[in-house]
Amino acid sequence: MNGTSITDKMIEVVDLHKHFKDLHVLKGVNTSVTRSEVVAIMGPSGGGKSTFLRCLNRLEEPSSGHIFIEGVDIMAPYIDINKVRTEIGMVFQSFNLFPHLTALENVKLAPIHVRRISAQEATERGMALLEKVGLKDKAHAYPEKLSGGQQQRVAIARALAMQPQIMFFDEPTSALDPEMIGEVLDVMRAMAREGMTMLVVSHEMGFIREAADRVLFLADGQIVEEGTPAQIFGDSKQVRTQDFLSKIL
Amino acid sequence: MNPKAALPDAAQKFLRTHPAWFKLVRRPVFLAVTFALVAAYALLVLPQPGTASPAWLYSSIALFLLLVLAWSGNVLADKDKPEILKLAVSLLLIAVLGWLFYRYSGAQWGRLIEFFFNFKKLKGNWWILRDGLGVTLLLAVISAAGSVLVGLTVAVLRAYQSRTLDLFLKIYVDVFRSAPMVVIMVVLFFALPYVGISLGSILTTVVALSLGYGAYASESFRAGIEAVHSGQIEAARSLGLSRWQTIRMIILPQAIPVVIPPLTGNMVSMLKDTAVASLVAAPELLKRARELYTSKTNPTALVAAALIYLVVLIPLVRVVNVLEKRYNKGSQ
Repeated sequence: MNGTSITDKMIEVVDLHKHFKDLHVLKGVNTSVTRSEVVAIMGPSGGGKSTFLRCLNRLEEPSSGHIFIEGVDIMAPYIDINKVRTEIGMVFQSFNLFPHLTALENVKLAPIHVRRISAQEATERGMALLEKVGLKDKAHAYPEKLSGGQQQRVAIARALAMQPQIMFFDEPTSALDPEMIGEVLDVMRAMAREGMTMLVVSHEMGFIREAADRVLFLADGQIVEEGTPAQIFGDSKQVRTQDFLSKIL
Repeated sequence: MNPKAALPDAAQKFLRTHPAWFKLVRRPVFLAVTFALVAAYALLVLPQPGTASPAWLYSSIALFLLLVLAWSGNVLADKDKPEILKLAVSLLLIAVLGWLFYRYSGAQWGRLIEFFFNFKKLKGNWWILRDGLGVTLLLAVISAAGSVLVGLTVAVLRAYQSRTLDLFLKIYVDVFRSAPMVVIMVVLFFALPYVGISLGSILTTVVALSLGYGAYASESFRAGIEAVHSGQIEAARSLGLSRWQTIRMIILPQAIPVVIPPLTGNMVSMLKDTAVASLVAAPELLKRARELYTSKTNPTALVAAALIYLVVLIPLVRVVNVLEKRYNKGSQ
């Protein structure tokens, strides 16, 4: 396998298609992500970015194609998708914290009930993660008492509590007020530095330029162009990419 | 721009000031004088029943009604009058109308009271109604638990979104929401024995009420479950929680508080519907009252049963109201 062992290839996507009734949202996406790589996904809305990400942990059921996570074909009929999802943390645009649980309970829930670790261990791990995202003092607050930025940082801690191999971010800062974007991006930068494999749907140019290894430009259900941030932002070869970038800059 | 400027002259004048006659009729002095006049009319002009010609009798009563309604309407329509006065006037109006009816309808009041409110006849037999109430409450409590269990199970199964399962559950819900409770109970009681299932009156009632109100409860639960944002389910599933864990730990804790007010309302309706069980001879309140009615050949027992239902149900209806208000406040 020309030097790369199978475990270094965290995600491999082969000819991924997704139809919503008559709508052909993903038209054959092929790509792969190696360990510790940070991949930014950009593109116009309706281009299939979110659908692509959500297909990778089968929150959205792909219509055809193959997805390998750490070498395992997650489209295979016998696969336990819940097991696969424990390895992939996901952060949503609208945070989706559980409103009936405190910040700490949000973080503890899945480790206790899915990973089956003890409540005490989950509490310790949860507190450590909340401290890491700067919200130790908000551990016992309910989501409605937290700002958008704080909620999103709890959501990140909640995903990290499962100790996933991969993190997905679906427009994590789009629903935030401008002054709160920085605190969330800081947490994400720290994760990237620590070697987390990350797929990030985002248009935060500063963050992508600094933290991403590669940019996928997704439009009309296909990868139109990919390359390093420098290549895409400074020297893109495709008219569609240039057109899009000129609009958001 | 002043919006009043666009109004016609007459309206503008009315907005600035009321006409003189309007101010006059709202004065306390005017009210007192007219009250005295109407009272004098009632005492001096209204004829004794049976002494006047029908034409004179009816026209004088009609005029009296007109005067009384105009006088009280004048008070009740005035937003500057205190509420306590309006309450007093309303009570007085009811009393006057009652007095008119009592005096001129020719009803046999003594017979009516002897027939329907002859509580002496119930002496020594109140324990029968008390036992009946006990059975009614027991039926209601067991059936409430049964219907919540049925409703929750059906709603959770429907949340799994299996097409085949959903089809059958929908048929159950629609059938039991459409069929009158009387029919359900009678069918269970009189038809099932022919296929070898004999439930007895108490069990028939519990099963019928649980299935019937379970159908309603399942719809309430389903509405509550569907009100939970889809992002909640996605977040739970993305953490690796199974469908059942997601329903149990994420969806139901958010859905159940929403469902409690409508569910309590359903349970109150169900308490009323226990009366239908008297048709299948369950010894509940209405059945025992009907027995008394037959043995004493006097319907006072039925009136007593009606009053007992009211005494039990009115507080419950108020409780439902408070719950609904509290929930609506909480959701804002």
